[in-house]
Amino acid sequence: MSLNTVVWNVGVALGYIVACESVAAWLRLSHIPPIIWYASGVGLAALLLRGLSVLPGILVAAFICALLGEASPELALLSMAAIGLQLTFAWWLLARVLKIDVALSHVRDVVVFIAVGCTVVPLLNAAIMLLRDYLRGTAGDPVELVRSQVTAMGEAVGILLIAPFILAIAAAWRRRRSWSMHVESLVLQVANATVALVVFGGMMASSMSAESLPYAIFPLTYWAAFRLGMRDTALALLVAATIAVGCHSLGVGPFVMAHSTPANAFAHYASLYLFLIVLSSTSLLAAATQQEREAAEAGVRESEQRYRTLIERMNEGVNITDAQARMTYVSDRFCAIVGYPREELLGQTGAMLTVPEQHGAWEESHRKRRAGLSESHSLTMRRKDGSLLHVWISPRPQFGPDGAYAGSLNVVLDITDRRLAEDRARAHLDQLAHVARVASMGEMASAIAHEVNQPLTAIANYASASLRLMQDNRMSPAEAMAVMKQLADEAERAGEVVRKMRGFVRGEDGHPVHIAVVDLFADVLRLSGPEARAHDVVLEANAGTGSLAVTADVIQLQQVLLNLVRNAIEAIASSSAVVRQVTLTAMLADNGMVEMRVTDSGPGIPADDLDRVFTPFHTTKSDGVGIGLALSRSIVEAYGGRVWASAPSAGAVVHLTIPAA
Amino acid sequence: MPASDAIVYVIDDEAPIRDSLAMLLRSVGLASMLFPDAPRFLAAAPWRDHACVIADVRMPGMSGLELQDEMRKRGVALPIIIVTGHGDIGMAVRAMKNGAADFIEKPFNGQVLLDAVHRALAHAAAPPASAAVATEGDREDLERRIASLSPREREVMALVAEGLPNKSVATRLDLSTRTVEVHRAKVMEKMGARSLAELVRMNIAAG
Repeated sequence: MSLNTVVWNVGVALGYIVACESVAAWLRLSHIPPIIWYASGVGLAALLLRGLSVLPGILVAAFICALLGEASPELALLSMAAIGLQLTFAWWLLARVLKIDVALSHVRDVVVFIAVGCTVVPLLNAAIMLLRDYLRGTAGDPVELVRSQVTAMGEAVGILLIAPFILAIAAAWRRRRSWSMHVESLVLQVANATVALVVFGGMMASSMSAESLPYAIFPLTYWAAFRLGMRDTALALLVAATIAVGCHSLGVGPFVMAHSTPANAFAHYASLYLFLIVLSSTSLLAAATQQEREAAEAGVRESEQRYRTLIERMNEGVNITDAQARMTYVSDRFCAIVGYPREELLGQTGAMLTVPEQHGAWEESHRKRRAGLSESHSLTMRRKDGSLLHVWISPRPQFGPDGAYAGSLNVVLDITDRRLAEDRARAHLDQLAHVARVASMGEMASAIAHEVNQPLTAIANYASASLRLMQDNRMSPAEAMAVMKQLADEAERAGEVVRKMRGFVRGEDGHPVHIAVVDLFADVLRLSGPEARAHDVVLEANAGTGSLAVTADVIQLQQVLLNLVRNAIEAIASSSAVVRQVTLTAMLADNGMVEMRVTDSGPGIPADDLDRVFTPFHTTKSDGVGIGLALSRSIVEAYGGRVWASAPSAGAVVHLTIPAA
Repeated sequence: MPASDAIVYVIDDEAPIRDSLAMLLRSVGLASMLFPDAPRFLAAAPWRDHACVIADVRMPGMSGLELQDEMRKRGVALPIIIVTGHGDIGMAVRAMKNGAADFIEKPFNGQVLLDAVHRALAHAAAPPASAAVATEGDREDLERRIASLSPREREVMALVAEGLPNKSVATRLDLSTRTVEVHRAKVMEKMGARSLAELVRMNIAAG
């Protein structure tokens, strides 16, 4: 047996004896039967709190109390056994069978405690007393019968008052209270004691109705129940009941009546008991109800806090929008992703964050949400500091009870880094194809120069040598003829190079196939994407009806478009344009041609240069050869198309036509 | 034309170039030996004191630059004239820094090539001592000419002598191409350089 258990047993025993003897002392003073009995309540509460380990203390205390009550040792042992049996049975029912929470934190616990705890012990007690009367041969004696009934009810009320008080104190032992709560508690308890004294101490004028007066105590115990909790409620009840019973036993108070007959005597006590039971049980239930609600509210708060923490700690940003797509909630993370403070975001729509070129995409996604579609999509935004931001948005549309669109909960993931990483990874593959294709124009210029240089060098050498030899008459006609033959061969070779080149740009080397413009644009977007992003340029394509198609060599046509797109991106990159966009569009033009346009928001083309940009070796770029657009034109013209430039009010447009398939 | 014991080794993968060069050399009385590639030239090892090499910078098998390295490794001190095509100026400048006697751009003027060959042969024939004296005199002359350049002209010369085209020089110095052309002409005039190769050589000599 641990020291802790010993201490508890001694404490419980002392508590039991004090509860028992204080009532006994009062009874000796007033010479009336015990009309309220706290000892059983103390014992039951101790058992509920500490289990059977405190039973020895209770038994010892019960034995001592019986001896102090002038019983013989045999009778005291019997009394001790009876009390031990009653309490253990009640404890077993409550704690083991019905499994109540000893903190009485739920309404069920209070109901079970009142229904079982306050009835089992008194009923057993009454049964034992009846058995004793029967054994003593005093059964059926009216005085003893009333005595048994009154004792049982006194015990029930005692348990109802003292046990919840002890349990509430134990449950609230470590709970801290604010100063104002302490003051309120003190005010309440003083007011309660005062009202109890006034009501039950017979201090009111007799003109007040005796029946309704006791109800004055209800507001106070309910005040305790709703404002201060189980502990103050139990204390207020204990104090009020003790005062009521004390005064009653002294013959004062609203429940006092003549008790000459046994029936009257029972009524004399029963009406007070009934009042106290109603007062206690309703007040305790009220306190439990309030406690339960507070716990539920705390639970809701806690869970809300938990979800809030979860949302705020998520890598994804979260926002909630109303039916008009205005943001009504934004998480800290969302604010961090877009770089705007919360107050600048609330009440605004996502359009404010989206780059102008993507407003269409943003509106489309809003439409889809209204239709209840929770399709995830990417969007290009701009942070407050102006930097580009790529996000992946997963919306969850919300609908009101009437089925109307109420808004959307959107999870927003910053994929800028991921997009850049993907770009870099893909760049290794794409760049090869990209550079190879775009650079091939410049490469070709170099190759042509080399190919033509070789015969020209030989021709120059032959001519120079012949001049010298002929001047000195050192060359025979046969020798001269051989040299002339060489010169003709070399000139022929140079011509062959030029012919080959023209053959290439005419598309003679190409393999014309059926090309869907949608696919062509998709390839160009994919190949030029990394370069566009590298220069902060938004690249978009609109292939018109989607059924547009041309007949040409895929590689050559890609080369032409890549070259035009690259020029457009470079034009923007070399400028400080705010709107940075290159758009590919296609439409069916007259005379069976498909017209494609490469529109850029760059500095545009000076009117004088509009006709010259397609001239070979005309370039404005420091590292350009000036052959890209010229070759593009050759290729397009080889297919019977046309290419020209125009300069609208802002930016530049290059148009090209290719016969439709 | 005085017959000479000098010989010129021509290495080029294109037969018309080899043949026409041989005829050009013969027209001034110079003997030549022709090789279609560098390995065959190295294998023949026809070393003679009074000789020089004309090699194309781009050849299958072994480039002009690699040939240069290989000859140095074997202790063959023949002057090499590097012939370049379009866009190979950077390689030619590397060859010059590596000790090539000269470089010539295709297509070339016959006279320019012959001048380069004569210079190389003279250098090959000259005794080391007199060459050193000549270099000393040249050096003072060179320093005087460089001192006459404006700071901007010196910048232009440094970049041009690296083999950069005018357009790139313009970008680097944030000038227009036209301005660079003017500066370049001025540099050539002040330095007394008749070709880019000479300017590169001067730039190397000046350190």
